[in-house]
Amino acid sequence: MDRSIFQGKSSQKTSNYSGLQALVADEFENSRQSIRQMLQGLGIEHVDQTASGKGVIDSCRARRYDIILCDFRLVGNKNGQQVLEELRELTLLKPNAVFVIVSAETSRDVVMGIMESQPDEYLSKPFTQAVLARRLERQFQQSKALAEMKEHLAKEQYEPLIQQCVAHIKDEGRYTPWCKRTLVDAYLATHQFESLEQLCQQELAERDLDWALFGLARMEVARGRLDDAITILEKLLRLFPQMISAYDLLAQCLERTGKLEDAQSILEDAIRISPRIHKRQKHMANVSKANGDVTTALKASQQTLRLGVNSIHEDPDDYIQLVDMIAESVDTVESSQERKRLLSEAGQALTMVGKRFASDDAVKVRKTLAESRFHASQGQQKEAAKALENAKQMAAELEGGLPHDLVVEYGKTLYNAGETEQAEAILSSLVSDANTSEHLKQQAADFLDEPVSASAKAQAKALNKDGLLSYSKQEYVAAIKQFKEALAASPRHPGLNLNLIQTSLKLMEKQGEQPQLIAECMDAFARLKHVSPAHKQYKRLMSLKEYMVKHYSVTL
Amino acid sequence: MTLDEKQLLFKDVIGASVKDMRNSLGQVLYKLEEAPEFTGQNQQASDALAEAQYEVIRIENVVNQLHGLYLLENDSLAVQRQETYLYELVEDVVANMGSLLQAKQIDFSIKGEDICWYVDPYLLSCVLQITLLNAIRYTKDRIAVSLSAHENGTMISVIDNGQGYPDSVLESFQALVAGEAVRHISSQNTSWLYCERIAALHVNQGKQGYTRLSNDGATGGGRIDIFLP
Repeated sequence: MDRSIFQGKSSQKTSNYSGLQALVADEFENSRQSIRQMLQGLGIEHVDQTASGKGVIDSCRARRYDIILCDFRLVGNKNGQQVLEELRELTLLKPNAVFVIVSAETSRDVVMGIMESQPDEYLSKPFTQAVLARRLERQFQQSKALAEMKEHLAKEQYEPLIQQCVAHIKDEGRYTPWCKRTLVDAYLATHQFESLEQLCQQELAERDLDWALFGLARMEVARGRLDDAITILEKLLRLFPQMISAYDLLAQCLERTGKLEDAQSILEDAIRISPRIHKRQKHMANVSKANGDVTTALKASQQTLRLGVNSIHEDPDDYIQLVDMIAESVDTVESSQERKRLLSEAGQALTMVGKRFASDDAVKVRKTLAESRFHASQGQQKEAAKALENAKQMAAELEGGLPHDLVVEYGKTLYNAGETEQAEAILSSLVSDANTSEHLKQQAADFLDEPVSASAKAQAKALNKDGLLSYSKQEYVAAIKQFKEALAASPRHPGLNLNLIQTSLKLMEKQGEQPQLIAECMDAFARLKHVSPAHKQYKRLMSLKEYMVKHYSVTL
Repeated sequence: MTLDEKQLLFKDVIGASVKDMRNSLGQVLYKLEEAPEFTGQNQQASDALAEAQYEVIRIENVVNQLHGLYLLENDSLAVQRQETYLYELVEDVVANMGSLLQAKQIDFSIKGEDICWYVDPYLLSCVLQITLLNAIRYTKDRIAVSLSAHENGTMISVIDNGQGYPDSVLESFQALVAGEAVRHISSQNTSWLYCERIAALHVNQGKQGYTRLSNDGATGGGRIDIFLP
């Protein structure tokens, strides 16, 4: 073996590195100094240093570095992972720059967070100059060897990329693993599913591999076969319980197939392993909210905001979501001290979003609407009405009026402030407007169906489940009682109302006409005026109406 | 505060302390590497530096192993396997203790092909560091690492040319990997426990990794085998 691996200094051809420019970022002066001296010892003449994340971003604006050694912990409120994401987003990195995250931490949440941001290299402290030299040399060799392929990848030129990857693998090149993974991405992007499957299966015959199983799962998702994807992902996670992106994809598949509770439990697992990821916490906030789990939704909303501040992920949505979640859950908190703390947190979030997006008028409108909803949830109707008035005025002054994507928020605020008729009118017209995106339509329709808190929704959902079970056992009287209890929590829910009607009809079919049940059915129909022909329960509503009119002397 | 939250907090305390120690160790290691420039050719000084370096790497190693075992117990050790060139990985570990091997005048060699294998490179580095430190402690003047294919897996063997292990040590190693209670906890057996646990995290098609301690037939010195499926 070459003894030069022992000696970083003498093994390096100084001339190779002399023209390079490097940046060292570390919160500690002595660490910065020693890493800087190591780099200088390798022949790099130009080495800048900084202590903060902001310092790294500013330095990268001023100079195009070849090497950046950045510690995870930095002075200020950005860590190394957030800095890397931001540099990429702002395209402040040269394509062949080597970004190394350095860290003395071995806690899983930090290590996983770093890995998920995919730096070129991860170096754990302590390390010697010899190791640094070896890693850098390897990175430069790799980036030289893969330069052309990486350029194709960045430009989405998949055909030449595939050709070069295949050739490299055939030659048993050193970067064969990289080429195989890249091939999976390229086949997926170009829908060459047969080639993808062949590659992954061939690899899997040799050994268990997370990326090959993941490739197959992504392929099934692309083909719309979500159940197959779920099966593969479950197998993958049994073999590789720390393959974090598999959790995210599995949760998405479960969510899309309506298994929201399973999706939440998978996200819980993912967050236990790697909690420092903004999009994961945000996904959790949405899924748990849909499940009516306000405690989890609140916690996830808090984390989402915390991870977003000072990063490229910062989004006014996160502030608004947190305020809404606090409004919904503050009543369920027992300790008065904790309640007080939450209320002040909501106030802070409102102030912050106003400050941080001060130049964005649409955000100002959203903030004021959120303020109104918040007051309404606390029973402060006068303040709610006042904030709503302000928001209306601000919206009127906006160029082009209220932005389309804020109509749902606006409608909800009207509803909560007691202007229910106007709210219904606005949201219904949104649902029937052909220009509205499916996503917004769904949001408006969902709100019209259930304009109640997340916990009331969850309560209704659970009672509805009980009712359906009773119905399946032909215990109609019990079922009716359960559906009615559910309706007390969520009166406008179409499925629930129709379940009540259908069960009542079944009971009368057995026991004969009962005026009380007829009256209750008529009330239920009356609660479903908002169900339009586009609604997924519309057909069922019409057929039940028809049945009712045919068999009983009622007019509908 | 619930018990769970207390444990969580303690985990953070340990994490933060380990981070501090590793930062400091980085500084000490760096100063020791730099020191020969100031001491010149003074033999006594360089012997003292080599000893200090050996001890610092040992501390680093114990910190890794302590934190690693703690995280394993709590089911919160990060395990990220990836295709890794093993020859290169061994060289990396050796490079981190290069001046130590030089100062102790130990002849070091690696045999075998540069196999690309599916392992967690960080965790395996810690294991290799443990086995190499052990070999440095007991060898006369030679350490050899060999990489070879073995039953659909890869075997990494670290062999020294010292006196070899007495039977009692080999027996206690056997008991340890068999999961029997350890009578005398020592830094030696906790480090072997760590190696065994890390090897066992490497599973492929139903096969699990393991470690084995013996005396080498050729050199008569100690030999540790790490099998990775």
